[in-house]
Amino acid sequence: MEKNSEIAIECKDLSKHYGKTVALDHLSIQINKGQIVGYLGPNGAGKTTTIRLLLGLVKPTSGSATIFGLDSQKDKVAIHENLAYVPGESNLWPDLTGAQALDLLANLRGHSDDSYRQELIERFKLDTSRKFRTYSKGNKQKVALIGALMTRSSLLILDEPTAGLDPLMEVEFRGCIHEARANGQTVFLSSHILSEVEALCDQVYILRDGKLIESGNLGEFKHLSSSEIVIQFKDSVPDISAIRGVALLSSGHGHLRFKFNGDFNELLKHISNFPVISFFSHEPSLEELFVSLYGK
Amino acid sequence: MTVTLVPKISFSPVKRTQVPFRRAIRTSVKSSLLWSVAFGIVILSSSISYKSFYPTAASRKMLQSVFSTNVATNSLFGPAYHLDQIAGFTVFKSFFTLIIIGALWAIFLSSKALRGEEENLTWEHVIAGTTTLASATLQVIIGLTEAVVSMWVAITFVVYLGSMQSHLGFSFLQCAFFALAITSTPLLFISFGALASQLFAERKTVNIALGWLLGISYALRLVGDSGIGLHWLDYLSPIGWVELLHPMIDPKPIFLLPIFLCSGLCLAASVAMASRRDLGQSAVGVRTPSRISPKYLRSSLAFSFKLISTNLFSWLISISVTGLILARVAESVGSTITGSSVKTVLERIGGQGNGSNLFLGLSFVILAMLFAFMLLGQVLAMRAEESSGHLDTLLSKPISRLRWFGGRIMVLIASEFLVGLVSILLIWIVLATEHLGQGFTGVLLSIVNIMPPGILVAGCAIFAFGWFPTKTSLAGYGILAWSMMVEIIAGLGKSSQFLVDTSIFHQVSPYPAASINWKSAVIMTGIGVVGTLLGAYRFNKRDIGPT
Repeated sequence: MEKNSEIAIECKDLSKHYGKTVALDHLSIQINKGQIVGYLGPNGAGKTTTIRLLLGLVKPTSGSATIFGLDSQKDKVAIHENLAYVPGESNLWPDLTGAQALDLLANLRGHSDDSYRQELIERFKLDTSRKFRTYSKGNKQKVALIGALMTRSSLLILDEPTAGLDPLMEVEFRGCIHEARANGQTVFLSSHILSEVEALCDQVYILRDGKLIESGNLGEFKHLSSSEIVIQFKDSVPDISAIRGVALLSSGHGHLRFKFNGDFNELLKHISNFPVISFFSHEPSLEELFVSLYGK
Repeated sequence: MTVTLVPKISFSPVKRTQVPFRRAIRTSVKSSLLWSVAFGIVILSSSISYKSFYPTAASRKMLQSVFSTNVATNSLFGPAYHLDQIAGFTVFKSFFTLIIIGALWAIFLSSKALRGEEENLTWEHVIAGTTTLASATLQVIIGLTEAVVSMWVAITFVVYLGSMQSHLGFSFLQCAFFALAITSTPLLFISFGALASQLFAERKTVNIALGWLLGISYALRLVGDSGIGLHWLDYLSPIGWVELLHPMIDPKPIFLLPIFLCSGLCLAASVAMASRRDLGQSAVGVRTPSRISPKYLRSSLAFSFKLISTNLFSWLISISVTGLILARVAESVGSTITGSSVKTVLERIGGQGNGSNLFLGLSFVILAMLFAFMLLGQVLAMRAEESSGHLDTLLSKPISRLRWFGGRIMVLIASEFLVGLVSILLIWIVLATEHLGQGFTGVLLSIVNIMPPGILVAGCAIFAFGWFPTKTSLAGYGILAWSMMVEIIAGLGKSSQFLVDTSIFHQVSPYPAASINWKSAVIMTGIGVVGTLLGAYRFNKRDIGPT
């Protein structure tokens, strides 16, 4: 029952207060179909609250959210037909085996791709004959992940989905998300693992104290943090301290090491009269962006 | 060079290594004292009611003659000794009930404090420190034993002081030995619980194993007391050892020997096993996953039924067996009521007919309490689904809140119907074989008559679930505890009519001894239904979450 639109998720001024605590403050975002979106923020930033609002589990204090054009509160049952969710802490019924839990999730969902389910079980190396209560944290997470991925839903909402997974399984998970992208599925990925977000996501939203403080693709974030530049000169070293955006880290013996977030043309023009042996520039990673944002 | 000194933090080594002990004390002593007071009130209530219901020597002799040779009551509640004395009657009326409750308390407490703590990973933090698994086990055992000792002391003083106040004539030693006999069952089952926690990997399995042990132990002494020459079976049963203590009238402290010996051995074995195994491991290992029929996994409604099926089965057995026992002894007990002051009291509240009818009327009120507990248990299971986070999983699927809620209410109604129907059939069959003149319609009306208190309690708990979810348990148990307390207070003597009317069980007429109070039944049912509807309305609107 999807409405004809390119927008998968849209939040308008979405707020949630718990008494005097503001868990989410006027969030406005728009996510297109087929995008893989990273949702970042420190603990208590409001990531899980956003997800619970999108799922219709909690009511907004103000504002609204729509998924595929349908209201997340009024039309949640219809929305859930096209949505799969992996909670941050997988907590299914302890007396069910992994296979029984997957059967139940598939039946509650209404449909699932059985051959893909079997493929996922093998890829994630899950022993489905054991009781859920006997699984390790990582294996519990695998059940929830397989339960969501096997539905091939139009929208996957994943809250810290790789918590407890070992690095090999994280690679499998990334493979599954790439497949989801190829299938045209939309993925909303809340995560602390910045390398994962960096590797997977087209778009990143960063939340702090319930407020959206940054959004965009990784390229658009570059202005937020400086590149680290190391130049080895043949002879003397130019004085670059007057150039805007330079923060000198070290110099001497013909080399310069500095942080730079100014205009590269101006920098190159300034050093062009000094013979250069090597020039090394390191772009900021998402992790560095994240640290620079929260270090403020 | 500047040297920054890290402030030296000193921990008390005693406090650090006593965490399991302190935790065990914290979780057990409060409940042990609460139960002690409740046990004391039950004992005193039995003694005081004996004085008022059997005031004459003749009525007491009749009581003695009826029960001393009654095989049915001797098997179920233990042999009746000296029912012509207050002490004898007090033991006969309260002893078995209290030791069974004490055993159940000990089972849940020990499995929670030992295997439960391992299962929920709390002990990982403890064992990661300087405490070993054996030391933690020993500390918990000492903590739980201390709770039993507190219970012993508290019951002794409550009964002794109550006895002095009401001029019952119990000596301090009598009270102390009676309390010791009652608390020896918790001691035994705490030691069994400690051992079972080493044997089995899941708390649920520990509880089931201990439940079986309690059942077998009770059954052995039941056969032993059935007068068919198998009295020696009492010596094989832990409950039999407790029974053989004969508190109050003819004490036999020699039987404390097997009790202490068995407890000591089990506790020592528990510590020894804990010292040889890894955390989280067990001697028997995890049970093979049970086969769940795929039909239970097809929908949220079917799965809801599966979730409560074990619990429902337990209630079905409990209520049916209680109904059967009460129906079975109705004739013999009824004969002692006829002509006694009990009959006069019952007639005052509308009870009519012969003693059997009066006893049946009271018995059905006891079943009303069990039904109320059963229905409340199902509402609490709804709340547990939410607090465990399982409801998040269900409601993130295409299932509406009201569909889930309605499904659980349907399961609740179906459970009540099923348990009611089985009880009706069983009680009807027993009454027919006893020729007590209760037709099928009579039994049907009796069961219908006892449903409203349960509906009211469930409705109020559902209302709380909708509006104040964290108070669901408080609302349900609060009404039940209040009503039961009022009934006990009312049983002690004169009390305010207003106070008595606040008990939901007082609103149930003792049918078939009195005509059904349809007005009360309709009001209680109405409150339950309105509570359910209001709860559903709010549940559909409020935030859901594992809070």
